[in-house]
Formats: sequence, C-alpha cells, structure tokens
Amino acid sequence: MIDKKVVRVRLSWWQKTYYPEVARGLWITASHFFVNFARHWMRHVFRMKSVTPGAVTIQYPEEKRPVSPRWRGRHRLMLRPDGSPRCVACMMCESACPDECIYITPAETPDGRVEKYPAVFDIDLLRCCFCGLCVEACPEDAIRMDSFDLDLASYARKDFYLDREFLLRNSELTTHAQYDGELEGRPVSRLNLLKDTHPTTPSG
Amino acid sequence: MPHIEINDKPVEVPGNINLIKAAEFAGVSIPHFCGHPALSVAGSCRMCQVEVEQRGRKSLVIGCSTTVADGMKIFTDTEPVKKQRRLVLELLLQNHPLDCPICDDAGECSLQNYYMDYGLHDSRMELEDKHHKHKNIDLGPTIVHDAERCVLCSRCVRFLREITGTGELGIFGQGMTSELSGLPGKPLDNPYAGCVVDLCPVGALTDKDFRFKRRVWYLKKVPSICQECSRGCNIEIHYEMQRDYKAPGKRIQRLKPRYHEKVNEWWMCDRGRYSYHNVDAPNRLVVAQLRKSNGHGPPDIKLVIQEVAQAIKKTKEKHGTKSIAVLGNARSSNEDMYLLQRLFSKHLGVHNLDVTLKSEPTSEEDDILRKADATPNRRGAFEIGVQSSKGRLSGDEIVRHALSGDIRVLIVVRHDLSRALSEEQLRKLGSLDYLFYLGEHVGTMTDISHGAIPMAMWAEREGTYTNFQGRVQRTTPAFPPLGQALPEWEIWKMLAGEMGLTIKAKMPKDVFTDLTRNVAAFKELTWEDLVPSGKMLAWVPEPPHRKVQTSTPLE
Repeated sequence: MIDKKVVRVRLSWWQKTYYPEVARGLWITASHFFVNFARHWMRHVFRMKSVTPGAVTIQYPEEKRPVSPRWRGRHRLMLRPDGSPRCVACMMCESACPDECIYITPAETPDGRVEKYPAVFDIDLLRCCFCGLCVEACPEDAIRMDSFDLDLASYARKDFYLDREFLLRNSELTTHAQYDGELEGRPVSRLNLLKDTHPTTPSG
Repeated sequence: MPHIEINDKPVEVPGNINLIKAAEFAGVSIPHFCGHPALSVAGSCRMCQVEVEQRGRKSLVIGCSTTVADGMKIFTDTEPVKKQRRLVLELLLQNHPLDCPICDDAGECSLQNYYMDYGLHDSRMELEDKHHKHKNIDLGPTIVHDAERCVLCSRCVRFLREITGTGELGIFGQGMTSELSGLPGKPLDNPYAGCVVDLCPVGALTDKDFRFKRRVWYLKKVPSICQECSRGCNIEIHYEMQRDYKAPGKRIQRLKPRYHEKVNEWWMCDRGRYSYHNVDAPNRLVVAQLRKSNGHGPPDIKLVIQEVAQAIKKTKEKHGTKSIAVLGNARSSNEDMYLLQRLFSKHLGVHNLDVTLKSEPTSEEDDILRKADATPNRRGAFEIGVQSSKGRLSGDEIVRHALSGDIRVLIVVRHDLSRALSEEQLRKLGSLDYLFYLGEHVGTMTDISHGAIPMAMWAEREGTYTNFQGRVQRTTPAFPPLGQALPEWEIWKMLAGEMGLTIKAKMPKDVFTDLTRNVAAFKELTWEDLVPSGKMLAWVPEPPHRKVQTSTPLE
C-alpha cells in the first residue's frame, strides 16, 4: 500500500487570530475593483488608449461572447441555390465520424438530376464529440459546424437528436455565399439573426 | 514452359498465356480494364501496356493480347510504361464525371484504384467543358447504366455475346460520343444479367438491388455456397449489421460470385444472386410454436423437442415404427442429414425417410451454370442414405400415407406442403396425431403443425454441401441465427438426447468427422480441406476443367 503524505499547513499565531486575514482578503478584492475602475476611467474618460483595458463582465444570456470563426458547434446542412439540400448522401461524414453519431439513409432523387440525396439525415448530438471530421470529409461542403449556437441545453434527450429538417433550417442564411467570404465579421451578425429563432433551447 | 524475365526477375510460366497472367506468376500486377480471362481480347483500354524486350529490341505492347514467348523480357515499371499509363488514365478521365461520392462502385472501382496508383495527375479539363452523356439509363429489370462513368472496355458486351449468347448490349457512336447502350425492345433480362455488374471495372453498370444500399467499404465478407441449385456456385456473402438504421433487419446486402475454375468460374445466375432476400424476410420463424397450450408461457425449442420425443415414443410403442415418418430436405447440409439418418434409421429404426417431393420447385437448366434440381445437397442425401430407395416409401408416398392415416407422426423439414396439397388435404394433415414442422419461415406449415421449431438459414450456419458433381463444399456462417433459431443438426442432436442417444459433437466439424468415418463416400475428407474450393467424394474423379461457353444462345 502506498501512503500519501499529507502536508498540513501550520498556521502561525497571527493567522489563527482570523480577522487580519479576512481584512487582507477583502483588500485583494477591493484592489481589483479600484484598479479596474481606474483603468476604465483612464481608457474611456481620459482617452488614454495605452492603458491596459479593465476586466469586463458579459451579461449572458442577454449578451453573448463573440466566438472565433473557426469555432465548432452544432451542425447545419447547406442548401443549393435552387433550394435542394447540397448533401448527396455519399456517407463520407458517416464513415469519418468517430462517434458514429450520423445516421444517413440515401434515396434516389425523383427528378434524377443528382441521383442521390439523403432521405434521412440524423445527428445524435449527445454522441457527437465536435471533432469536425464530418466537415473535413464532406466533398460537397454540405455539412458545417458553424451554427454558432452557444447554449446547447435542453431538458430532454430527444431535443439533441437532430433531423434533416432541423439541420437544414439555418442554411438559408448563407446559402449563396462562398466559404471564405462569408466568414468576415459574421459571428456577431449571425448571433443576432439566431436570437429569435433559437430552436435548441426549449421554449419553456 | 517458356522462361521469361519480368522486371529482371526470371520466372518459368506455362505457355500460351498472356502477359497479364504471366506477370501474376512473378507477383506483379499489370493494370487493365478490358482484359478478362473468360472473354476474348478486345484491346480497347490500352491500360495494360508494358515494355517487352525481344531480340534486343524494346517496344510497348498491350499485355492482354501478347502471348508469352521464350526469352521475353517484360518491364512493367519503366518510365515509358508509367507515362503511357498516365496518358491512358488522363484520357479515360477526360470526360469522366468524377462523381465518386454518389457512385456505388467507389471503393471497388478499378479507375479509382489505378488513378491512385499510377495517375495522380491534375485534370486539364474544366468541369464545364466535359462532354455529357446519358445517365441513369434503365437497361433491364436489374441493371442501371451511367454512360458518363463508362470506360468503354466492352467487357459486358463481350460477356453477353460470348458467354450467354444473348447480345443485348452494344457500343454505338464514334469517338468521344460512343456510348454503351441496349437495343430497342431488348431489355437486359437474361438469367445471368447480374454478372455484367461484377464485370464492369467502374461504376457504369450498377445493380438496382444494391443501389445506394451501403458503401462498399462497410461490407464484411464471408465465403459461402449458393443454395439455389445443385451446382453449388461459390459465392461471397456481403453483409453489414452495424448500420441497421438504413434498412432495419436487413443483414445481407448482396451476394457476389467467387471464382472456382471447375464449378462456376466467375459467374453466378440471377436467381442465386437475389436469393438472399429470404434470409432477412419479415416472415422468418424465430420462436418455437406449440399448438397445445401448457400454461408455461411461450414455448421454447426444448419444450417442442420434448413434445416430439414423447410423440415418437408413444407412437412407437402403440403402432410401431412404420407409423413414423420424416420428410427431410435436400437443402440441409451433410451434417444435418447424417444426424437425421443416425437418429431415425439407425437408432430408432424408422425407415420412412425421404428428402424429395414431386411438387418441389425446380430451377431452369442451361449449359452455363443452372441445374434443374433446385436443392444444393441432393447428392449428399443420396450418399448418406436419407433418400428413399427401393422398398422404402418415397416422399410423396409418405404424404399419401399420412393422409390415409397409416402414418401418425410426421416431421417435415422446410417443405411447404401447400404447394402439393389442397386446403382440405392440409386440414386433414393438421388433424394427424402429430405433425411437426422444422422450418425457416412462417406460413401454411406453421399454421397447421402441432409444433414448429425455428431453424437457422444457410447464411447463419456452418455446413458442407455436396453438389451434383460430387464436390463437397463448405459454407461459413456470416452472423448468428435470428431469435431462438438453431441449426438443423443441433435440433437433431437435442432430439437424440431426448431419445436416449448421446451425440458428443459440439460443432458441425465434429459431426463431419464422424460422417467421414461412417459413410464410405466421404472417406478421407477432412473439414479443413473443404475450403476454399471443396473436395470430391471418395470415388468420384475430379472433373476436367470446363470453359463456360454457350453453344446455344439463351432465350
């Protein structure tokens, strides 16, 4: 058996008197407050831009932190300009997925222009590890993980089982744009767009 | 035997073979699209070009149409050869749609593989400039054609002209616009149509039955034997169970022929190819059935087998063994039949055994593969002795005696008696003292029988089958049986246990070893020898190599 030696910190007599240490702790907190206060004033009132910016609190969920364009979140499926899904059900994402959380059932398109399309395209988000391999594997740029959906939370497991209609829902926002161009300055604006039609969070 | 050198490696090869085959002896593979050992030489793809040095002169020749000669020096990876291959691939890919993601052949496509091995060039063709051809052409009830993917190797055309003799397809047009196409009013519906999909080196010809079902890299493969006629074609079961959501309950995805030079060469018929659907049919019998309710909940197999044992014991005491009969099936494996014979003929003295009914479905016969006998193991039944012989009741007589009341216990294995009997006769059969059914599917027989035992189907069990030539071939199970189903030999083993006969065999292998000791025809065969190509029965000579070629065209 291996014994772990626990090193107990022996408090000095001064520390054992309690109140001086409480006062010291309060001073640390207060000093942060005054330093931040001073920094905000210097930057915003006296316009001293060289001063380090003070700490800010983001008022989540009313306010959301901007995320990087390469941030990976909930998936979405893209549409072609004519409104049909870009996905051709080639199963590359399904094959690449290490969690086996993508379930595709292919079918023949009725018009026969592109022979194959996904009749069923489900993603079990609870199994997903957000590795992004499906996006890498896609030869059609049909699946992306840039929904910028920050709060993936729900009370029921079934809400994380995303079907084709759900995944296609946010695709119209960037249907026609090419990948490089649409990244610029998008995260914030997309968040604004998503605010009203946020589907993952239960309405209650 | 010519002595040649392949890439400076001296080898001795049999004469009268082409360079592609000769290179295989040296372990070198020469890429090719149009060449096929069963078909005539077309020389249309130019992919198999190699450099040959003869009498000090080096030149590029196509490997498929060049026969080996003594002293030949063949080079397969020199710079001119590589350059030619790259050029051929670039030309083949010039108007290719590059739709590998939606192509069913991706993963087993020669064009894809050769590009990765020998091409790896960037396309000089803009996508918009490519010449477009017809897509999704319906060639027949089972085959779809995509002309853009076609490399015009003409394998399918030659197969249909030389092997089946039907000639439904042809290549029409010239140059860039030439296209494979069917003839008006002549659908590709001959009984070997599925073979053109196996022959197609790319994804131009695809099977409607397999279309979009699975990507080929998901498939797992086991060697097996086709069960649809007495030829016993060597096949491969391609199955996938992990992605059940695509088609719930469908485990086998397709069957493919496996090369055997003396049984089926490269081919298999469509009847066999699409025969796997009954394995995953929704009406599979998966739980034991017992008509007599005993208040113990749903019956398990053991309960039904005890019931069978009691019925046999009671009837044997009262009416003698003449009133007991077993209607076996020539679809059972040698091991199943051996245990059946051992239990009933030897142990119990029941001689009313047969495997044949006149009403059994038959197959059409031709001189390519198909045999009229639609069971895989009638020869085995004959050798083991479960087929009726002189002085014993035949299958049809057994049924007649059962109807007249002479036979009181009837055990039917897999036979569907509703083919032969009227409804009234079936009802009469149902009012027999005991009628037991060992089967795979729910149907009339499970309805009228007193007890039904679910049996494992051919893809779910191990076993050996003797084809019409006398060749014993072995199958491999792809997956475990559904529900309570058991392989037939295990059912006979359990029944034997109830009847006081202990069978020690734990695996079909043990039963087969016992069989080789006790049945003279199977002498000197061993379980291990039966893969991959089977072995002939003891006194049956190995048949000569036969080249499949039709003398009379199929209709």
